[in-house]
Amino acid sequence: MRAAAIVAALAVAGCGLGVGDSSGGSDNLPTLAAGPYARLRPAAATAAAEPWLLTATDALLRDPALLPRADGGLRVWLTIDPVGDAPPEIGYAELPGPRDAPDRVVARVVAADQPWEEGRVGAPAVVADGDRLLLFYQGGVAAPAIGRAESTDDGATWTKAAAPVLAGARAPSAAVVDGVVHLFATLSDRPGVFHAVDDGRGGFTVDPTPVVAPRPDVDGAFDRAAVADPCVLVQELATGRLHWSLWFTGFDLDPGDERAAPSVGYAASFDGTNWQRPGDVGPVLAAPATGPAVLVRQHGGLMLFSSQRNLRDAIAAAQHP
Amino acid sequence: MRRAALLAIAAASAPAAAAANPADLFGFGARGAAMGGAQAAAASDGTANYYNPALLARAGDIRIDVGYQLAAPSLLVDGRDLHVDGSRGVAIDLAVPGRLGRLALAVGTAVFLPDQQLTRIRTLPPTQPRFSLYDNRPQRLLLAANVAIAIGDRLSLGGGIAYMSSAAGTVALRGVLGFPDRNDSDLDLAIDVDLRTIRYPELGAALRVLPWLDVGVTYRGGFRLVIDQAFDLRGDIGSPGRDPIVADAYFKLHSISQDQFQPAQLVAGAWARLTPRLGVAFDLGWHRWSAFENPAAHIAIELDVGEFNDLVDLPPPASLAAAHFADIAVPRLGVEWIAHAAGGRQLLLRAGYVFEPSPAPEQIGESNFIDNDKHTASLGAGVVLPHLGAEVPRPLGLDAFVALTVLAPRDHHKLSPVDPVGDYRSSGRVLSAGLMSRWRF
Repeated sequence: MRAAAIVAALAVAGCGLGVGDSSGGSDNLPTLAAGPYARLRPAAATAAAEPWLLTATDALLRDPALLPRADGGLRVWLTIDPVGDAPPEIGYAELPGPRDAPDRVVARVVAADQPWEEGRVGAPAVVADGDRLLLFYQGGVAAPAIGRAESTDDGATWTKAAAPVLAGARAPSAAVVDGVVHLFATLSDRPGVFHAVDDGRGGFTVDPTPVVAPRPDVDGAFDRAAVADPCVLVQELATGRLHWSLWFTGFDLDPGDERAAPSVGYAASFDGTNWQRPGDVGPVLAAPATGPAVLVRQHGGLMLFSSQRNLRDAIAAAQHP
Repeated sequence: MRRAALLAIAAASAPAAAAANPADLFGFGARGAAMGGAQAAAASDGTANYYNPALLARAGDIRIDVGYQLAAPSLLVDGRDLHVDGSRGVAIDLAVPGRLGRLALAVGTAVFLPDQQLTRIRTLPPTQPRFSLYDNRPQRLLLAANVAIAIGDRLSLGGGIAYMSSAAGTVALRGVLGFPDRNDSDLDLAIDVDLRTIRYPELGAALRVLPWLDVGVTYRGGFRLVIDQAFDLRGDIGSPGRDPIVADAYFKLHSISQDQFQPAQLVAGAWARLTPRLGVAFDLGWHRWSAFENPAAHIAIELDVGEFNDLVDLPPPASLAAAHFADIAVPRLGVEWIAHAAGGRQLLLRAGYVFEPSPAPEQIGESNFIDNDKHTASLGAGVVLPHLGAEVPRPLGLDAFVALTVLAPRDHHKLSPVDPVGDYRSSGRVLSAGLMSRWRF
């Protein structure tokens, strides 16, 4: 009994009853991945040439669209604009991760074959709708419009609608909410990014109030001259409420001005109709960057965007936080 | 210079030395914790140093209790564990009775000595989500000293102080800051840090109303740890042996934050021995959480780089939103049953329940001081052994407890859609356990 008491005393004196050390409560912090974003820094032990993800020697790569692969990898659709006279087409690539080399290199998957496309397609936006994938893309030159295609084999083949779904519009981004497709795009005749809703008759109804518009009167605003290239993402939060995020390209000078320094901005909404922008005037990703595509991951966000590498547009990656 | 500013911010945000209270969260000692902490009138050992110092006066012999406690939280946001640190350490208390003339008195002390870090101080970014009551409060040394007197056979009074330490200090660098080659820097470093004593009171009273009924009341003072740190750099910018690019440049970052907040607490309790074998304890505590302030750092930056001042754009000091915590009432219920008693040996079974409403409002703005309503259920057992020979002639007690605190799921809906964190749901549980040996001499 005496020995038992001593053992008990030693036990309660307590050495070695430890539990594992942890992070101090900083793991898995919630985030909507709004930003800010920072370009991936080069790392010695990776296969990628960070921040560059996809490059080509014979083409400009632009306007990425992004979906997650089942194994955590990345599925990327993009515009391939060949050097020379060949018209732009829509390409596709896959990567195990943002610091890996593609395990499916960029290849053309959709070409222009409809009269209204005027030989050019690009600026893809891909969204999953149940078992099918929906592709919205920009076609046309003199009369730009947004077309629609559908794939029931996970993107292997696409079936296009014969007519465009939204005329006079460019650079689409799409979300499916309660079975209804919502498009965000720029319009040919008005500045800003606009919201259009599937009218159920093969077309879309545009809300005339822009979701975001240039801010010429705001000192220091990164988007004084123009906004373009929307990327919309709708998440159902743990509280059951929907949250709409919109990233877009902002231009400080006219997009045609070679001195322009485009960067990426952010806006958000709880209902897709009433939008707010952060209080500061800066971007969430510094220039030069256009055509953002965002994937929200468990601990943050991954953004792909277009930027110039060796005077040619390529796809780069940035992350938050 | 931006890098220097970042370094300074990092230095000011880094953990320093000094002081909240694991006992408030997980109880002190195995008997009290098993009974849900309802001990304002029921504490019968040296843990009265924490629960009600007046009860020390009822000790008829010298009592030393030594134990070990641990708590392992699993606190979730959106179903994912933030991996908040656990708390574990040695709990020791002492009660020594005596007489001063005709006056019966007792002195006592209690220590909770964490075995990870003695005390951790840290300042998190103002918007970072954190479980405010668990984030850092358990990471602290608890040290209290008390004295109690018995007035007649029924009334006793007690009081004492608990000690902590705050930190105030400056990191000063003087010399040449190399530019453009930082390797040309030649700086003398001086660090001046004071660990200043902070004391807060503990007071208690206990009254034996009836032979089978005791009541008690305890007041524990509020406490907050102020961390006052400065980073001070003065010197020339340039290369040694050449005229400086900027002579007598100056950079100072001053950070004031608070940590380890402990609310003032007023607890009233009763301990009723309903039968010779069954006792029931009930406490009701008032916790003044309305005094809780935003713990993020107030940072002020001063910079003088001469003619280059216009090129540096210092951010304006951020204003910190009020935390808007509310005072809470915490009921505690404990039961102790002597399941077996023979030949001086006893087997005691205990159980408890605590409901602690959250003092924190729903986090709808920029701050993310997460907290939930908490339900704690506890179980425990104890044995009393009459004697273990000449070395341990007095009864020896061995107690154990296990408790589970469940944080009721709570939704936080943000007012602004551009809030970078967004809506979230907080939930979780904390499992705590402990052993304690009770020695009498």
